Amino acid sequence: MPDPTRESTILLGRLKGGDREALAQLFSTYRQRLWRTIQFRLDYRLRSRVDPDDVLQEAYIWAADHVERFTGDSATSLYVWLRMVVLQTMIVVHRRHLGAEMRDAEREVPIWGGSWPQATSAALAIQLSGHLTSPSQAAIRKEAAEQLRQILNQMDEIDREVLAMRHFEQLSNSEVAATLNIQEKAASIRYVRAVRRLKTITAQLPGFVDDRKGV
Amino acid sequence: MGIPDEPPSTDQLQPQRDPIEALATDFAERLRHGENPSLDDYAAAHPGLADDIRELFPTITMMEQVANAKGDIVSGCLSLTAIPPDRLGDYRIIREIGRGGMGIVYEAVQESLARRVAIKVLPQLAILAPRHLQRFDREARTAAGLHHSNIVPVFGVGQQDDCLYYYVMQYIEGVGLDRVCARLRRLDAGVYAERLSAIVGDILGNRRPVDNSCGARVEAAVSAVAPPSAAPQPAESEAQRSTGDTDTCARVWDNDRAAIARAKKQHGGRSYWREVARLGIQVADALEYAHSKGVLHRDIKPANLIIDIQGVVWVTDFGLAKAFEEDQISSAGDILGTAAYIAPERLKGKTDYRSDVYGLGLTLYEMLTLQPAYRDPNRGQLLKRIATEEPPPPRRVRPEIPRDLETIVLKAIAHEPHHRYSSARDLAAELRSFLEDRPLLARRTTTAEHVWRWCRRNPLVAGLSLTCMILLLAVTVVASIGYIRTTRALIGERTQRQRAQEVTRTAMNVLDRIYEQFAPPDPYASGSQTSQRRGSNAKVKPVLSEGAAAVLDDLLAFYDRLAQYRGSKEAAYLGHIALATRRVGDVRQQLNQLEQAKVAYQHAIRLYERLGGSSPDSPHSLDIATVSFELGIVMHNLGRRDEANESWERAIQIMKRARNKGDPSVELRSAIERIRECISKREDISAPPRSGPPPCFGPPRREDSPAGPSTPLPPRPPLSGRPRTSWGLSQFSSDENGTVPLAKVEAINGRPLSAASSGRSQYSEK
Repeated sequence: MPDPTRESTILLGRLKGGDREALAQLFSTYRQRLWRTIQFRLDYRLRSRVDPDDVLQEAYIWAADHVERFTGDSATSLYVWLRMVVLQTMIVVHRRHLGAEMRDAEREVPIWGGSWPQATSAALAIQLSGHLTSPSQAAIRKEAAEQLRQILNQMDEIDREVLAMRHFEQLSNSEVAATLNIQEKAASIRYVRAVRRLKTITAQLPGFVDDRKGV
Repeated sequence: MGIPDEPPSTDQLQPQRDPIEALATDFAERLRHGENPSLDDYAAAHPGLADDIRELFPTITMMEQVANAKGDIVSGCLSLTAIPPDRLGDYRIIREIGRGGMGIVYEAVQESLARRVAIKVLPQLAILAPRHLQRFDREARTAAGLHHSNIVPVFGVGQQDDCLYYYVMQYIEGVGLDRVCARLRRLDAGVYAERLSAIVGDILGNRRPVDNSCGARVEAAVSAVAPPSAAPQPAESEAQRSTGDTDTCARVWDNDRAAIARAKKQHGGRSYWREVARLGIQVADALEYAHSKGVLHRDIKPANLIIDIQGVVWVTDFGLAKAFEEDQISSAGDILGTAAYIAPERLKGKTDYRSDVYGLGLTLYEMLTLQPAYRDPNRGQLLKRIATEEPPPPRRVRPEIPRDLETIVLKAIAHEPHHRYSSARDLAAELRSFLEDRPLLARRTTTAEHVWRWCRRNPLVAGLSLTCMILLLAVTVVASIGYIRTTRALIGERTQRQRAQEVTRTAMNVLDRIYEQFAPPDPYASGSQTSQRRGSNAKVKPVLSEGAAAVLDDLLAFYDRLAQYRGSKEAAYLGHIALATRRVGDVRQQLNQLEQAKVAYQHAIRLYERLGGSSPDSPHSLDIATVSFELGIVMHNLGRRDEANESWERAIQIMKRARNKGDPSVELRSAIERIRECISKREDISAPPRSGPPPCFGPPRREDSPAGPSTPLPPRPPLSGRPRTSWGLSQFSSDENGTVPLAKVEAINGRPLSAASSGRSQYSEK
């Protein structure tokens, strides 16, 4: 994952000096992963209405206007900050589109740190159930998604979040640690534990882990 | 690439990190780059962690697959084979380069020939049924027979493990037009992008290991430049910088707006439109070639057109749509991406080469406007829109689009197939005209035609409003005629005449179209359309429904009114009156009011004669032949055999004279078309007792018409599968007097009948 290479260190320095051009370049480096964050966390009701690219653009504009609020000094901290900006922007977008429905959901949306635990398990369930190799009729898929969601809800919130960040948003271990405000060692341990739990859980549902190839 | 001995990532300086986590990170990274790292290798390299590796890595694999399968499972691509295969036969899989409803595309190496290929592995669900498999096999074989510089060559098909079916193609280093459109849309730079190939290069340079768009297709990675194993982010940003970095939206937002504006001003976007036209020509040429081989594509859409870095467009997935057609139409939600490009007639189960023209038209539409012609998140709504709506004209979306290009696109995506270009070649020719600034053949649709087409698409609504429409028309016609009469003194004679003609012509057009709709068989439909339609009800004698009869009855009043108005002696005007009178006859005949039909026909003939019809040079001589022929049928059904034969004789004589003139003029051609229609109509309405030719083809000898007086001709037994138009004409030509040699008729009709009919049968659906 993106190391603070010399160049990005230089860019970071320029950014601290308020150089928006530097922000543009750094943002483009993270663009793809931020896009994934949106894609993963976007409410399914908005998928046909909201283009992740638009959210990204909005987030970028906000970040450019408030660049002085970034106080970190590493690429990791910048990424974590930008991701937070993106998540905030998403809340605005969700509220704009879902209006009243959103106000209920809002309570479940801590902006910083834990992200959206409920949303994560729903999103995970949808994604995972799509992986079923059995006939993918909508009904079966929906049932499986619901089953999965319940199972995922049994998992520790943080574990669930770690899985989502590691695989769906492609955060590195250090980025996860920074996001959750924990030690990197703790983050890596949590990740391994989460994978182990997920494995146990999915083993209950046939068809998830394909053993054909002896992987 | 080997297994790292040490946990490789950036965190390696932090020994407290869980070692299995570091390995897992590496493993996931490699999966993300389309590699297929082996579990055993990892376990062997790290024996101490082997158990953990075996326990956890399959779950990691699953997570990565789920995460990268497709961002949005809800909109649903087919569930695809879970684990990418290492190899398929002679082919070693390198990485996944895209996936969509029709399968996953991998980049692979054919080891025996050491060449790069693209392999499409079909969705397992789609090929469960053996009939799909057979169809797939057959279509692949056909596609492999296509050799054209704009068609992705198919090398072969294969099967592995009874469940993996694949399709091997040439590897094209390019991107689907869907992604080009998406990119341009994001940059809002359609009008400034001078070279599409620059966009292609940009997308390729900014490689994404896994594509998130459902319609992703063969997409090249510059794997030699940026090996998948390399640390991705720095390498990628290098690549971006070196390719000009147009994708970096952040930059564009901040810095390139001004540049875009400058470029817009400078070039007026002209070069982009021309590039789109050139692109359309390439695809049209490829389609024309395939159509000439009897192969339809059936799923022309941006994602199936790959543009490479040289700007060459490649059509891919020939025939694949056919292999899955039923599923395409029926399975809910599974082809959301494709549904937007389904031609309206496909919803009714019809497909022909003009459906491909439509697909190309929609693609051009999207390239011009940078938005799909049809979109709706709800699939049902989307299909309904396709069936009933026309997309907004491109220039309404982007006024700077050249008018001619818009005209071409609108004609290509016309709702009714017979309003489109009749072939991909015609479309290509028209695009070339655009490039060379020559005038187009297509004309812009008039408002009246828009109204009419709307009625065709919305028959129910149109039916309800038909009465209203007729009333409106009546008011218009009467008011106009009255207006002309009262203002005659005020307006110059010429203006007045022109107006009268204009009113009459419009009224006739509208009336004729209503007539066509309600009075089968359709007398003016174009050749292929007609034969297809007739083919389907050839055995059925058309019976007027009560509703249709009522409408025809209504129409009669208007035809009558037009026919009775004698405002001018001018030829063109009289021609309309004659036609109206003739239509009165047609309608009366449809309504089985034979006496009135007879009177009308006779009057029509007199009118045509007044127009100089007795001379063989008259453009109306063939109208007289047609009406005489109809009159003959009416007479025959009235039991007046002698008069019937007389009329038929007259029709034949006129045809002979026309033939003797030699030069097949436009009039002759259209007259022959009409006579042909009469012939077919005659077969539908009534027929001679034996299966020989109807009397009009030979000298109508008495012994050929043994039907007693007042006995309508019995229905003719259906012809056994031969195209009736060619039957009619060959009979016609074999007339003892050799009226029109078959070869000449064929030449008149622009292509050999035999070829036309056999070609059509290849296109026609079951």
